[in-house]
Amino acid sequence: MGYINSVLTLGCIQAVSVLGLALFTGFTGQFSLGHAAFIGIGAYVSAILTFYYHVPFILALILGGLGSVVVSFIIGVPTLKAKLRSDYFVIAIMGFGEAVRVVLENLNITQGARGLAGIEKYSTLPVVILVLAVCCWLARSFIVSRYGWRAIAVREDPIAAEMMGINLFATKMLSLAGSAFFCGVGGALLAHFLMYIQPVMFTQVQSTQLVAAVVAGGIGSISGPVIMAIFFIALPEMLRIANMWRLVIYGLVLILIMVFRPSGLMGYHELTELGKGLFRRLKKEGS
Amino acid sequence: MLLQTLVTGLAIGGVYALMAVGYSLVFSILNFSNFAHGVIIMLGAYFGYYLCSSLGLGIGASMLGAMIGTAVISILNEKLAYRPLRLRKAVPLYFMISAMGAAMFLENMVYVTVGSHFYSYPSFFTGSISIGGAYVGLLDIVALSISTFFIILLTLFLNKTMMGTAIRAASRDMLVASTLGVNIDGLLMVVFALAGGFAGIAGVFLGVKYLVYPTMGVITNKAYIAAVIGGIGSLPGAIVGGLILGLVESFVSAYISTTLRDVFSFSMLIILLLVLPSGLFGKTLDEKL
Amino acid sequence: MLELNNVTKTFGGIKAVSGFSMKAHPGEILGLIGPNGAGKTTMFNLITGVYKPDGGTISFDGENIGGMAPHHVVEKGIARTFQNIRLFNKLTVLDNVKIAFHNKLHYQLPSAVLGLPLVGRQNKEIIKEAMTYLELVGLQDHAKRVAGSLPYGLSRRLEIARALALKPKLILLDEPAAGMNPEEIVDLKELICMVHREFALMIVLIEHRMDLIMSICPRIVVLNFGTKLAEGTPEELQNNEEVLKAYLGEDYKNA
Ligand SMILES: Nc1ncnc2c1ncn2[C@@H]1O[C@H](COP(=O)(O)OP(=O)(O)OP(=O)(O)O)[C@@H](O)[C@H]1O
Ligand SMILES: [Mg+2]
Repeated sequence: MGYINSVLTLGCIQAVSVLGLALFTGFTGQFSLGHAAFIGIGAYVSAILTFYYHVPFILALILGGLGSVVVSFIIGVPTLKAKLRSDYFVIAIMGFGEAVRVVLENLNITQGARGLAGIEKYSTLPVVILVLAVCCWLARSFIVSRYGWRAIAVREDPIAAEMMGINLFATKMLSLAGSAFFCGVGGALLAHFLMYIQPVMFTQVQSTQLVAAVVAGGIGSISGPVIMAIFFIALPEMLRIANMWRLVIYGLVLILIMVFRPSGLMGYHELTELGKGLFRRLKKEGS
Repeated sequence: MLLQTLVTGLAIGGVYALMAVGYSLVFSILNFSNFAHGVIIMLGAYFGYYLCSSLGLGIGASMLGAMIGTAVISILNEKLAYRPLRLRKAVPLYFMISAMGAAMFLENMVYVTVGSHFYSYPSFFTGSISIGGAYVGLLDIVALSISTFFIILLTLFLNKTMMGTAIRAASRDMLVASTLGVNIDGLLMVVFALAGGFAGIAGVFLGVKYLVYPTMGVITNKAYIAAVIGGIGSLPGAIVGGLILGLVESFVSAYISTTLRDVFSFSMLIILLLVLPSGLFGKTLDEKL
Repeated sequence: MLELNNVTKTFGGIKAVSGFSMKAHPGEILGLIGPNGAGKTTMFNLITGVYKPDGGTISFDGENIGGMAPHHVVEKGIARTFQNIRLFNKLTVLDNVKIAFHNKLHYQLPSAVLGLPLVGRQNKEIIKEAMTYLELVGLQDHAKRVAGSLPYGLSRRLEIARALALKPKLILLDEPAAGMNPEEIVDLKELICMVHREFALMIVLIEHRMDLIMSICPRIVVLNFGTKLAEGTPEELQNNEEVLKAYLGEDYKNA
């Protein structure tokens, strides 16, 4: 029971971060190989707040998210400018991820490469599920608002979007900040689940795992990536597949999805639609 | 000290340039960031290592073998992971994801087959020579010469041969090139063989200079960073970007701090992008509507 | 009033537009014609800020808009359609039009993220308004369809509806009749005349279909090799030697 419990907790924590990348990649059509840095910032900011300053967990969680948002502007403003190829952003954020790690490894307050240990355990399964649910609600609300419309328009056709009066830079930056927030919250949850954090946890490998979950779950979907995030953490754990084989398989899955089914598990659809459809069919049969 | 730092910087910069050239070449034609490029560099380091330490080949033969090996992998990578998307005219995002999948797959295949040990090459070019009172590593000089040699060779190839002309035409406009009767599949095979081959040589140099291990990717990321500094898709940009990155790293390590080296290069990248949003030689894109 | 003065744009040595000047007046339908590659689409791209001009000025209602970012140009009251249709293909027909209203909604980010009821209410009101634009172009029955699945003619109409929903003062139409059959063209002509009247719009129309352009544009500008070849009423142009030679000579007879 304890084992399943912690696997599920870890899955839900990963899902919160994946939700962030879903916003940026799935709904805004931008790619990133550095979102692990935002998870790291959230983890460290929140852990430092609870560890050194005894800030209440809920506040630390939010401040962890906001810390990542602040950092997202440093990387986003120079690189997301309109008209620039998104590749500049992808590579800059990759280098940025490395730089963040080096900084974390060399600060006193983070206790360097050894990492920060003895963090309180606040992220229990019910807490994590609650946070995931709230985050899903926030993301969903964002997507169905005019801010979400703008993001989706940019994903579909940036030039047509501009001709609808959409500011490309502002739209991408907002999505990046939002995704950094969720990743930061995910990091904060992670720190208060594992009870220790080290800079090496937040490498490009972590970033690519986020991408894998978003792509496999489906571009333009919230529920797909969330399910995939939990699935990707839980299944290999349960099957006791070694970590490295897991990544080999993720890599292969990504290529196969791109070649055969670019829409992923539920691209452009949501689980709720399935529910509604089923409900409608049942009603029809009943009457 | 100054001269030594300069030569070290140029030498590593030359290797970065070799790495960046292949990446930029692919980008200029297919218009996406081939994130598998870094892993192919890493494979080059492994191939070279096996050839010279297990088979006892000399460094020249090992390098050639590594080049062939990475060229083949690079071509296979294109055929299996990009070609289907190409035929479907998929958007660059999908290519990037597929490339990342290939990178993940290859990197972790190394883990599960070879393991995460660190290997070191037999010693090559260990001496140093004295120039004007400064001691300069022989390896650095060899690396710089060989990088220069191959980059000149590539430039000649692109400018003086039929295939090179076709590649340059395709980098302007793939559609036009294909309507002019250029065989795109064949052309891309050459391009990926070149990119892979260059990655192979670079990998061997990295292996000789540092160590061989699966997450060498952190170093190979510098291929991408060098390309961004120079302007993605531009060959002169890749070369200049590589050299600049190498020099900055070498001077920061020598005069400021080794640990902060990467933070410095990154800050430089960001400041550069603020001033020149598309790198040194990059073009702002006027997409044809 | 739209005023272009001595506008120039080159692409790697090719002069797509050079020293071009023209004026379009409020309420006018101005035709823009010229052989393939004459620089017509480039002109639209320059006006809308997709490209920056290399020289010259572009002003709209007395304000210089040359080189302004596209989303600012849109705010000034200019909308356009594209020669190669650019719809948001994965979205529904209705959502394509809805996006045009993104700046006209009143809620801010915090209420949006929290999903407050007022967001839903305002979004709903927009649907009603968006539907009126679909009705205008006769797409009301296709509202729930995915835009990418529309046939060619309807896609062009949806693009027009989407541009109109921005409530522009000037609309730039880039070959709206391309790929349409004769009946669709007749409908299109009616549509253009109707929106021109209803919204008191200024329209600049690029078209290769001479029958269409000659019948709805009182004034036409002819472009060749990036420069203005001639300008005048359809009758004047039909008798202009230069124009006949450069352009109409081949095309007009079989049109
Ligand atoms: N982004 C670009 N990059 C390079 N050349 C361009 C670009 N856009 C346009 N051109 C060139 O500029 C010239 C004018 O093109 P433009 O599209 O404006 O012609 P057009 O009058 O719209 O032709 P058509 O009737 O075929 O649509 C052409 O030679 C074209 O190849
Ligand atoms: Mg045109």
